[in-house]
Amino acid sequence: MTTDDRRRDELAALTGAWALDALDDAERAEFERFLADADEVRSEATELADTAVYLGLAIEPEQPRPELRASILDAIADLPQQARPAETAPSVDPVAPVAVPAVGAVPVTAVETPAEPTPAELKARSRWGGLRSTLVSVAAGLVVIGGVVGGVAGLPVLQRGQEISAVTSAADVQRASADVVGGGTAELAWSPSEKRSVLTTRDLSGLSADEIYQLWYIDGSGAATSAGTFRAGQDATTTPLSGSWSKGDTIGVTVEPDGGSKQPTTTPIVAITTA
Amino acid sequence: MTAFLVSPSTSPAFADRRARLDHMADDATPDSRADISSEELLEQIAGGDRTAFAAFYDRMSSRVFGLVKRLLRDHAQSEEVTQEIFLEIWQGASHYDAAKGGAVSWVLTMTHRRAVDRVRASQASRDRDSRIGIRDWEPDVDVVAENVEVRVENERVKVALGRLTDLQRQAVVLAYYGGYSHREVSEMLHIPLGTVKTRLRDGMIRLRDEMGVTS
Repeated sequence: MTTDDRRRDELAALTGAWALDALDDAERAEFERFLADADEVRSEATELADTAVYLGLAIEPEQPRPELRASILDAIADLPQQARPAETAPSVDPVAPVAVPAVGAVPVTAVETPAEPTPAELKARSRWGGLRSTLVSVAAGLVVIGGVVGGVAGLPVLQRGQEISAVTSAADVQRASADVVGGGTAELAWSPSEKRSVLTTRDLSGLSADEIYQLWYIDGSGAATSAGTFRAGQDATTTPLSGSWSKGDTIGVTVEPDGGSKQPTTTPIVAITTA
Repeated sequence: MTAFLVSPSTSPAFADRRARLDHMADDATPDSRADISSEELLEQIAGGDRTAFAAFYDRMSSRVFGLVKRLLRDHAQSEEVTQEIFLEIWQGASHYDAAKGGAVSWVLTMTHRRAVDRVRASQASRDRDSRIGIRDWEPDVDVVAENVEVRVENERVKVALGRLTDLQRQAVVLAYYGGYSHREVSEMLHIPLGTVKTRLRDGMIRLRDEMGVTS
């Protein structure tokens, strides 16, 4: 049995974990690529994902506050929608970062630019196999509406712009900068009241296509929790960190294999401690 | 029978699978478009119909919020995630393909995924882990159940879960209702990762067969 065969067997055993969203990001990406040309496994995975829906339906519904309805209906009033997915498409970019000059000047008439799947992913999308891939696209789409305008990097969608401005315009915003190993600078802005932070990088040397920058919260004991991934280069790029900032956290950036890692696998190229 | 299998509830009559899902999702709220299926509503939403979106929200929000809150516990965060999910539904409705499955499945699959994303990303997971005391947790099904606070409301699912082995059920419950990764489940139950993968798969296959799910 070749290594490849063995890995395929291992992946084929992950249908249950996948259906239950119990894989980490990198495993899930690998599993979904594998599904594209594994018809039997895909069929089982689809059925198990449907089965998981029953588990969700077995939970007692709970009505959210009416204010949430108003807030959501208000939010969609000028929120552009994605176009229908094309049959063929270029590769998916990871979460597209926000070009800094665009922050605070979000055009509501932005062009729709869903992040499109690769052909393999399209194939993997046969039914629910596709849902999870689609979610990635939808999430990326949330971020990159605005799209490519004359070669300029994507403008932020409303929500991402709002996430950033919530921090940068907070009354208690604090900032700290540091040099990045290998060239460039990073500035962290954080707001204790918002419990959020955003990182702006400039003049980074850039990465190969199979690498990505990953953000981490590092607590007092040295434990790292992922705060998302981003791509950046020479241009000033602002990325909101996922998760919550806590007092005393150190924010670090590492270079990781594309798709991100569960724990840092390289030495941080920059670390900024917050007070 | 274990502690999480509590709270008897009504058992809807099931005709076919789609009807079952729809029935289970029926919250019996007044709906200005009650005669329109959720799948058709999504189609209208993809076309930019805000009234259809409002009707869809009214139909689905308590399901979405209930599930998100089960995983996150925190009310405010659960509302945030619920909002994110509905904004995704608005923005991404064009990706929904009725030929591939029901609206309820689409939404609840998205809901679970988003809730898990938040659990993993947020401070909540660290708080939660420390509260539960993950490192010295003994594999006691009642403790597991109590901590995950799972109350399964639907009789049919409850019965199906009851047919799993204890280990299968613990693993499935921790993963789905707790939002734990298979690695975390492995740590919590003190069983090897490979065994957890097997339990999750076998458990879900058993559930699938008990629930009569076919593709």
